[in-house]
Formats: sequence, structure tokens, C-alpha cells
Amino acid sequence: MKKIILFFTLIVVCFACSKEKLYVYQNDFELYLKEVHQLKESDFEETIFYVLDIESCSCSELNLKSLSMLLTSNNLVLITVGKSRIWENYKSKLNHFTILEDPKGKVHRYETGLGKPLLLHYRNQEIIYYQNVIDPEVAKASAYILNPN
Amino acid sequence: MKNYLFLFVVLLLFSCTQNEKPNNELNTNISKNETLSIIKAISIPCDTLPYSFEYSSVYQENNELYFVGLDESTNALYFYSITNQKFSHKIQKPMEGNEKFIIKDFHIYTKDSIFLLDDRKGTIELVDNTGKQLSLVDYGKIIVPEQTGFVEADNSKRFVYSKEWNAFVMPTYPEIEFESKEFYKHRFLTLFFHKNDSVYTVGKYPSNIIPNDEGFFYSSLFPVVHLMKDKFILNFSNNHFLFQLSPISNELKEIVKWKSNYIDEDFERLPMKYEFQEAVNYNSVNGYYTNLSLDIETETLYRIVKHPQPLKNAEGKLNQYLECGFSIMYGKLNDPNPKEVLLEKGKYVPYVVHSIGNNQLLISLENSFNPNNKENRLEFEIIELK
Repeated sequence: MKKIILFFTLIVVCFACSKEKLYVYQNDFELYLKEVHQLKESDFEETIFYVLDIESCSCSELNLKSLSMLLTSNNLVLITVGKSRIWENYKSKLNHFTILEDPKGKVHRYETGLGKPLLLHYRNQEIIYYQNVIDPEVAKASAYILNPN
Repeated sequence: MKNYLFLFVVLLLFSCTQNEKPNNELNTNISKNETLSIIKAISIPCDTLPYSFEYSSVYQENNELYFVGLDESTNALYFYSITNQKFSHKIQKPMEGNEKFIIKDFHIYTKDSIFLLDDRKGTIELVDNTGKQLSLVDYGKIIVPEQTGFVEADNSKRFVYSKEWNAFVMPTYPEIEFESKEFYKHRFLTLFFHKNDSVYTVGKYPSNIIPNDEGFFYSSLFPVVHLMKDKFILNFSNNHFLFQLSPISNELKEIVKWKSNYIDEDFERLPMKYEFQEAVNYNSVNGYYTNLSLDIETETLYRIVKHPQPLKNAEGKLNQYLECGFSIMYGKLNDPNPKEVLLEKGKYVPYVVHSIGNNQLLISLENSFNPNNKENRLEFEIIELK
């Protein structure tokens, strides 16, 4: 009997461990936010993060333009990575969002999958929406920010 | 039962241990002090001027050496005099309107003959040192992507002008996923003969570069190409040989094996299905040949080697590309025993290396991990390899 219980316990543990995450780099991403931007658990209650590499991504102007047309803030936290002249032009147009700057690109010390921008919606400390914002889907990302689930 | 528990714990520990490559740098007896001398430190004030460039070149005129960098954010070429250690001038093109010309690459033929490439527009402008247009080549009307592939100046692909052939040599590639074997059947250089507006394609990959069941080489989409007399000299990131390509027969010939002391015989491949982060990690961890610089006068080649490094540092954070070790291999083209000199870690930007003659190289110090890097100055060293 003990063996059967042990067997089922192992099965349950295995299933719990293998539950696929919406965003596989969640642990490192949260570590980055806590270590570099000093965010706390309470900052993951209802927040949409938009992480944009303004220095390396050729998509930065496209994304900044799209974000600047959004009139709602919807708890959006824009994290800019690196430095660029384009950002200086857009910064004042985006000040209705919370902006966190990472000019030295410390995000690259963490495994976050950042290449194209990342859109992550946290609710009750869980990620409920994740999008790797490839160029043809910038409008989709903006639409989500306007009407999040 | 205790024995099983012990075995389980041991197995668990082994499975959690990251399989890291040994530090190859310990296996070499090459000493940098024997072969590398710093001839001169260059420091140019650049308070509001750019110091990081997509592409760069050097040229010499009237005994004055210039470094030229393309800054895409301002759509301009910046000319810095290395000899006088000061900013000289810039050539800027409009980013909007009828005169819009997006500079994606450039080739300096002489001080007053500079070719600018706009790959989206399909045009090459010949300008003087003030940026005044002298002539315009509309290659987009002649080069048909379905036949030659797309011309694109990106990922270190450079275009050159050959005086001997009166032709532009353009990097071209098909619109096929580069994980596909089909991609590697394509000729990767298009010669555009301006005289009669004709086009000819050339280019062949060595067999080891072609993807197999284990994966593909993420770091070797396009070889570094140099023109030497009537041949192309090619450097592939993941092949120890230097190659010669005949533009007439499209024959690819191994010239000489230049294997770095810091790189294993076999190169790691990236699996066909990968996440972007895995590709970033692959590039950071693995060693390969990043660049090839050529001194035409002395026919000396300089091959830049990126060394392998562990994925993470002692603090458990990802190591960065510019933190790894780099070395330079050098010698005459047919020399089977090239020398190899180790560069100081985290000091240089090893992809901004230009041969300036007399066995000397101009190498950038704009490495963000260099503790002596000054943000308001553009800094280089002229080094000599003996």
C-alpha cells in the first residue's frame, strides 16, 4: 500500500513540476526586476511590463511610435534597455507610463529571451499574458494594452 | 536503503552540474608580451559625437590616417583623424523626403570617391568628401532577387568595389530560413558590372558549414570576404581553413589550415529548433573566427578569434560577448604556421580591428567592460604584431 501511495505521490509531484510556464524565463525576469529595478512582490499584482531594447533592436522606433499613440496607461511599465537618440525624442511622449531605464543593459546578464520586445501581463503575481513582440505584431501588442484580459 | 539514498543524491548533484568546457587558455604557451607592442594610444574628444558604429573602415590620404564609422541613428558617416586625434567631418544623408537615402554600408575608394549603399532602395551613390553626389548607380533595376537573392548590408556583410573588374561585389542571400540546407546551395556574392549593367553570381560554402541532423552554425551565416588580386579570400566562422574562391569557375579551394590554439577541432552546432535566448547563449559560450583583416601591401592576414567561455560568471549571471577572450592569428596567406597573440580580456572591441600597414593594427578600446573606457572620448590603440 505504501508503495502505491509513494508511486502516486511521485506522479503528482512530476506533473506539478512539469507544468509548462507561459513564459519560460519568468524566474530570471523577476530576479532582474528585483535586483536591478528594486521591484517588490506587490509590483506583480496588476502590471503590464513592456521591455524594449532601444539600443540594439532595429524595431525600437516602430514600438515607441506605437506606444506613443496609446492614450491609456493601464498600469504599463515600460523598461528601456540601452541608450539611443530615438529614445530621447520619444521619452516626453511616453511619460504617462511608468518608465524604468536600464541604460547599461543589465538585463543581458539574465536569461529573459529579450531580442524583440517582451510584453508580460502580471496579475496576482502570475503571468496571464506573454507576447514576444515581433514587428508584424506590434499592433497586436498595443491592442492588448488597450484591452487586457 | 541508505546506500540508494546516497546514490540518488550523487546522481542528482551530477545532473545539476553544468557541463562547462575546460578553460583552453591554460593550455597555451603563447605570451602576448612576446609579439604584441602598443605603438600609440589614440584618444579623440567626442562629447556629443557617436562612439559606437554599425560599420567602420580606415583610409589614408596625404599621410593622414582616418577612421570612418557609420552611425545609423543619425544616418551619417563620421570621419575622425587618427593622425591628429580629432573629429574631422561627417557626411549625412536625409532620412525623409524625396532625397531620402538610408546608408546601410559604405566603401571608401579615395577621400573624394566614397560609395554609399542603400540596400532597400537598391542604389549606390558615389559622393565626394562633403557628401555631394557625383553619380548614382541604380542596381535595383538590374539585380532581380529571384535570380540572385536579396542584397542586404547586415550581420557584417560588406560590399566592396573592385577597380580591376569595375564591379561592385554585393552580399546577396535567398529568402529561405538559414536553418535549411537549401539556403547553402545559393551563391552568396553578386558582382554588378557597372559598365554594361550585367550581373554575375558566385559563392560556395564548405561542406562542414551545411546543417546536419545535429543542427547548424548560428554564427556563420555569411563569410568575411576579401578581394586579393583576382581571387576572393574567405573566412568562415566555423571552419579552421581559409578559403580561396575563384570568381570565374566558382571553385572553392582550401588555402591553409589556421586553427586557433583556443578553439576545439570540432565546432558546436545549435539545434534546428531553438529559442532566441538559446542562440544568444550559443554565441556567448562558443568559440569561432569572427573577422579577417587584410594588409594588401604585405599580403598579411589577421584572423580574429573569439574564445569559448562559461555561460555564467561566479555570481551566476550570464557572461557577455565582449567579456570573453580574444586572440589574433596572423601571417602570410600561405603560411602553415601563423602566429597567435592573446588580447587582454575586456579591453578591446575585437570586431573593430583595421589593418593600417607595416604589421600595425588600429583596434578600438570602446569595450563597455573596459574599466578605463571614457564615454566622452573615442579611443583606440595602434598595435604592432611581430
